[in-house]
Amino acid sequence: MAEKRIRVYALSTCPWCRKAKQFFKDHNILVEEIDFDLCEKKKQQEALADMKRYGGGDQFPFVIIGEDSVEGFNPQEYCNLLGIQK
Amino acid sequence: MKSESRKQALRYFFQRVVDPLGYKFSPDSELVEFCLEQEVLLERRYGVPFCPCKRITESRSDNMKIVCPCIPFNREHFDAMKRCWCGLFVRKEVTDPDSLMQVPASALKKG
Repeated sequence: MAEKRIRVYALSTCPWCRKAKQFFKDHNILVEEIDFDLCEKKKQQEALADMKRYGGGDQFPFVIIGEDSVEGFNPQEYCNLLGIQK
Repeated sequence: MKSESRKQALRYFFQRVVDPLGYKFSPDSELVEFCLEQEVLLERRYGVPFCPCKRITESRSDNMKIVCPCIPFNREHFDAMKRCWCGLFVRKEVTDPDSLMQVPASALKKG
């Protein structure tokens, strides 16, 4: 089902980021979780460049699914992009 | 100052700021508690209670726009969502915060 590469950019302080991470856990989907605020500066720069490439970078959670991105916690959109029936 | 008392202080201060803007604390008390706890942590770390869901940058002027409550800097966006980005505050008429989604400002502009 989830063959697309998925990155969940989050802040450790953000409640909606926790919900986003939990969504993928609940669906047994492997994702790369990046807690932006806990990263070292170099990693933050890389993360920011990645988010900006997909139109994000200021607000979290920011999820990249394949070549699509979702800004904010939006389980319906995650399902749409992954072909999950709710 | 202990975390709990600082949380209460922020709650008191925020209430007075958001009320005239037409907002109130979310009825989701668990979310409110969590956000306030995170803001106390952020205040300890940076000296300012930033929004817990926004990126702190190296630009002081940009950062000042994400000091909670950041409603005045995002009025159009938040009014359209009927909540602030982190959901700590909702419009006064909101009774069911679970029905409100995080919608990026760019998506709202597209209509």
